[in-house]
Amino acid sequence: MTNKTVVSKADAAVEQVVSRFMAGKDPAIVARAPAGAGKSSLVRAAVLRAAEKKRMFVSAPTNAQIADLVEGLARANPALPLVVLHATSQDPSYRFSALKNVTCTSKADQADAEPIVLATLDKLAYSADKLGARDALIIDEAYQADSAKFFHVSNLAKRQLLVGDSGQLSPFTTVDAGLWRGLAEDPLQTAVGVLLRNHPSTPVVPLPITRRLPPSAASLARHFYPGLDFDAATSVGDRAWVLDAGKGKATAALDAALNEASKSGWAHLVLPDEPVLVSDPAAVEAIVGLIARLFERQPRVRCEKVKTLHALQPKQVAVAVSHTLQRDMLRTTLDEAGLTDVHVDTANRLQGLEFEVVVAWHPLAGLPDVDAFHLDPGRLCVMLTRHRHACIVVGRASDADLLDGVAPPAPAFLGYEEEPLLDGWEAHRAVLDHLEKHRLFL
Amino acid sequence: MSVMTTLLGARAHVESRAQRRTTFRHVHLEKKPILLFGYQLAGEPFSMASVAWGLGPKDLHHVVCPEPRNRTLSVTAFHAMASELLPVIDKATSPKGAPQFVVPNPATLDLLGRWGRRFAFSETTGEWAVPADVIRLARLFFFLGRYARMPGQQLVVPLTDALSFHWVTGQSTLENQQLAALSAWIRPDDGVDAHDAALAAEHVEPGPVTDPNEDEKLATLVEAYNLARRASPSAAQKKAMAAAEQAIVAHWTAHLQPAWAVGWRAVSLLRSLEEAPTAPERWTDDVGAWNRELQRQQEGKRSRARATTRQLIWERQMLEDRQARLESAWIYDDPMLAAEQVLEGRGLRGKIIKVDLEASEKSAKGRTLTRPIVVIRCTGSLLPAQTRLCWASNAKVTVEVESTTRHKNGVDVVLKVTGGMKKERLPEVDDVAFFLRPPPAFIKRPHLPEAIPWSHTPEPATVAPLQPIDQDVEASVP
Repeated sequence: MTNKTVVSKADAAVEQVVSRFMAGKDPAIVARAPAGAGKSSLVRAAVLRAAEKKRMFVSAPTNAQIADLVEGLARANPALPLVVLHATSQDPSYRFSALKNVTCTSKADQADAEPIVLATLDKLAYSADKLGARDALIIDEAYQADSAKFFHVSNLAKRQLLVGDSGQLSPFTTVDAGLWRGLAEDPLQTAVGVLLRNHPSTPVVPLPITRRLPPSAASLARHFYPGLDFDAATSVGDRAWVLDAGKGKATAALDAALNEASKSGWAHLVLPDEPVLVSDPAAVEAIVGLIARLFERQPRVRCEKVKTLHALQPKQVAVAVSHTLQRDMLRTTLDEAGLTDVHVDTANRLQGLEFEVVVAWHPLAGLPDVDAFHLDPGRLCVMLTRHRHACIVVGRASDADLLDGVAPPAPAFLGYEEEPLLDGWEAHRAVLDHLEKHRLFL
Repeated sequence: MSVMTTLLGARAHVESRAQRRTTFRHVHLEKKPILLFGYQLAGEPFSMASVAWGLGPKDLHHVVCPEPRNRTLSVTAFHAMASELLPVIDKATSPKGAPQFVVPNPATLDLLGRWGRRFAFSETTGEWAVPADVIRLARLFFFLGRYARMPGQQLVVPLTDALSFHWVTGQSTLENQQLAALSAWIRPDDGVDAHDAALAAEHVEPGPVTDPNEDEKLATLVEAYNLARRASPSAAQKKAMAAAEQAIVAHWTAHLQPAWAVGWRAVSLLRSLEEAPTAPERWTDDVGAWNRELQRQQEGKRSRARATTRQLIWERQMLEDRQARLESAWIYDDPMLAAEQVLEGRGLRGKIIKVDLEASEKSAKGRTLTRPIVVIRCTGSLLPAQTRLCWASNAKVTVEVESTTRHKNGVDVVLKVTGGMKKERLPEVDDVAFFLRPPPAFIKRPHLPEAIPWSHTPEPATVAPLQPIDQDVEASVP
């Protein structure tokens, strides 16, 4: 039973974007979406509609995103010729061997003859001087692309469609971003940011839907998208997962957390208050114990796509962390526990991915004090919006205390309106409030 | 904070003694650097109230501006500094040499940049004319202020950053920004506890701002000076003005004397460390950059007051590349910093227990490839299989983690040598070796398009007209 009003509102928004894009009165259009809104289907709709009349580039920041776009488009219209322009070092043709309408090349002049070219932003940048201008440029994940990448490719078409998720992690740098903050020339702004700053009249169309998140997560996710109103495509009861009682002994709190998550879509497993480093072995033990117990209890899921209960696979479960060290610790420990297929990665690298169940290692877990990195609302947003069924947050009892009182000072920059640290502070507090009724102590 | 600095910080606190974080000094120090202290007026970030510099503890040059809010007096003071400092700078400059400035903290470095920014765009003619030397020094300061963004640059060395890079104290990061307290913590007088030494040294003011109570005292002195200056001219008025100015100079001298001693003590602390192998290479880069800038300025080329989008895109890439190269140079130069990486789970350290030079594997095309195997016994490892590492003693030897076995005595990690096995010496059994993340590869960047794209060009209405800024602010002084 999908939520028909929400879906029809979202369809109308997609139609609005595509028809304005086709009408060509606006040099650029931005489609702003929450996590799991089905951005790719919007990009697909735009490409398919424009395919007959327009020569175009379709781009995104990473190779994986391009591969997903190619597969989606090739399936939607197997007669549509698509050319993938790839880096010399990365030939993706093995991925598309079953798709007759897809050709791969690393040579810009070869691609130049074809009407629809798909390439990463970097590849387009390297090939820009060998590629003629086209009618249209479509960029997916445009909030992950920075102004510099956009600068390289923006001249390639007079008409642009930028699609993206504004809640994820913004482009980052290893050097001091404060050097450029607030300047119109800031190379670290998002592609959407620089476009709207220079051309404030550019239409921004919201996609008011999340197809991935269950209704239990949609209300929480709204904290990360101020000014964007959206609802879950599914209704309560459309999805469910069930667990056996489980054999053998397990810590009661782990079982309780799993029960709570399967019932309500959320659980907050809290370790005792202790000052710890980012590489906290107790948190690793708790997370691995939780996942091992999950599979001991034979989890089965059903949803609007597959309506009968079927076994949850380890590869459909992910752990989201903040640091690579945490990832490496978990990877090693999960492998030793025989859970090699469970996905573990940092929030940065989980952007755009989808899982059935996610365990999130809370960014503030056991920190002695808070900082901009760990408060980043984008990081928390990515962690809490990857799941279709449930998310279990693992933290420490002291985490909430870190958010008592006044937020730490953050640098302000003339002309830079965003307050990532304060937004993060707010979002973290809202999330901890929300999790209160799902809290279980280990 | 890394595991290592956390541990060292805790140990420093318990033992009340600063802990060395590095084996080497990663900052090149010239034989005769120019130590410079600069002070601004509270709330006037572009003002120059007092400046002192010199090539040694006894070579102290001091210029004070009695009323920095008066533009004429500011220019006079800046000119006095320029006429003395420029010859020192010129003397240090040669095709293979550049002047090296040492300042107490990053805030002073920022202040230098602002002083430069203030006069770099002035003219020698017209209503707001300033002497040519003022512009020349200002342009050099403006350049240094921008160049300071370059990771690992050593043309200007902020002492607090340099000291707290090499030593971990029991103080917080904020407390470590006070040069006097920091250097007292690192090297307290004999028999004095480090905490007490820092507490006692805290009143010394290395600038660029001073204690608000001191600002109050200064305000009274400046007020007296202004009264005398504005009185109708007479011999008595001149005398009163000179006396008032003398009082201001005495105020600043009292601040400067202890700070000056602290500054040179910090320099000798740094100098007591042995220089890291690649620090001189970075100094050579700096000398090149300095000479290119001088050349540019002599050719009459002007800097832009505000960088363009293209320049900032280029700058960001360059800074990120430099940062990556610098971080890599640190860990390959320095066993202590390498150990910090190992504790962060980014490398391995241990004894080589087995080397098999004859090991081989089949390539995808069926050819037999020599892939020597090295087994290292560590106390722990979290590195997943296929992690690529390099041997710290010779980064040309590249390896890949093949498998990890845990046992009572630690962890044995099997490493497959993937590069350098033919031409380079490999680690041998019983060697104690570090394996670290590979140094950054050279990245060829795409050309930036000639035309600035529409998306990066503001619509005309969004650009606000700029107001002239270099005006006499004294008009607004009560």
